[in-house]
Amino acid sequence: VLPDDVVALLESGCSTFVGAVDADGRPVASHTTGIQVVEDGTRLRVMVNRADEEAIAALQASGVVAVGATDVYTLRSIQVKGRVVGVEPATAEDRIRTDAYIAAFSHAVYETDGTDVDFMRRALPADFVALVTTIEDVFDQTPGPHAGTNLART
Amino acid sequence: VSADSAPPALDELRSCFEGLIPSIIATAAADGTPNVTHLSKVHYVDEMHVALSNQFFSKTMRNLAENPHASVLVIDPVEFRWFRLTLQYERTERRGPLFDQLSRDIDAIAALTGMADVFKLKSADVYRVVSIEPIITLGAEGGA
Repeated sequence: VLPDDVVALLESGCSTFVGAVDADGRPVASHTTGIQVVEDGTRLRVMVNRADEEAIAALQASGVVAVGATDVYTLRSIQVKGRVVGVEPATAEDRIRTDAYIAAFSHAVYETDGTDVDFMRRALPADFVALVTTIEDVFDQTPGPHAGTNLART
Repeated sequence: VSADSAPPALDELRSCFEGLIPSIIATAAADGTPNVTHLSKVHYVDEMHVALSNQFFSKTMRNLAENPHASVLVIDPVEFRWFRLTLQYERTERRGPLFDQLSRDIDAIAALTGMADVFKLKSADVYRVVSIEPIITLGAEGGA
């Protein structure tokens, strides 16, 4: 079970990204546009760049994934290890949540380093798909002595 | 560089290596489990190599001992365009000019991010760049 503060971080306007492994065993990194904790805290729904065919193929090839999230203000970082349940079209709710995520993330970056919010949109995907994963392990990845601590609450 | 044209050469991405925006690195363990984390600094070494700052990276380094491949996302802070570097680990340097340069860079980043008590360079890890892939986004051709 994920602690409430971990859920809050994952669903905030934090920096989000995934690591997958392709059919040849090579890792593939991809940036993402937001995370939602679903299914009573047992799964994640992660928005992946639809144009990033290499990452999507890797996610489907190996069936395992690492999902990262870092708070823009504090650098508090979480990594979730999971199994891929599926990659599916984004729903209308996904799109509403992603718009809110982008607004929150862009505002956080603007507040921390002054980057223009409209210009930041250049780095965003034109469209996305929803990656659904299980939650197998959750680790603190904040730089410092507690990095690597398992955060799952039993 | 267009997303539909030939991939850029490494030296065309020099602005990505200024450390202004954190990069992302993915590695994989021998059993195929991926690991992904932010990375403070990707340093241009030469037209075929980059060095990554290793302050913590314990899981990343364990993975690289088992599987020498890495995938790194860098962003051009001027154009706001992402590029994915596919890397192969070659060696670790713990002293010398490359280590000293990267150590100074990390100290500067640590001061800017309030991490002066946390960030301390352990090694400069040198990788061969196997391929460079532009990521299609709203700011890249083909993304809108």
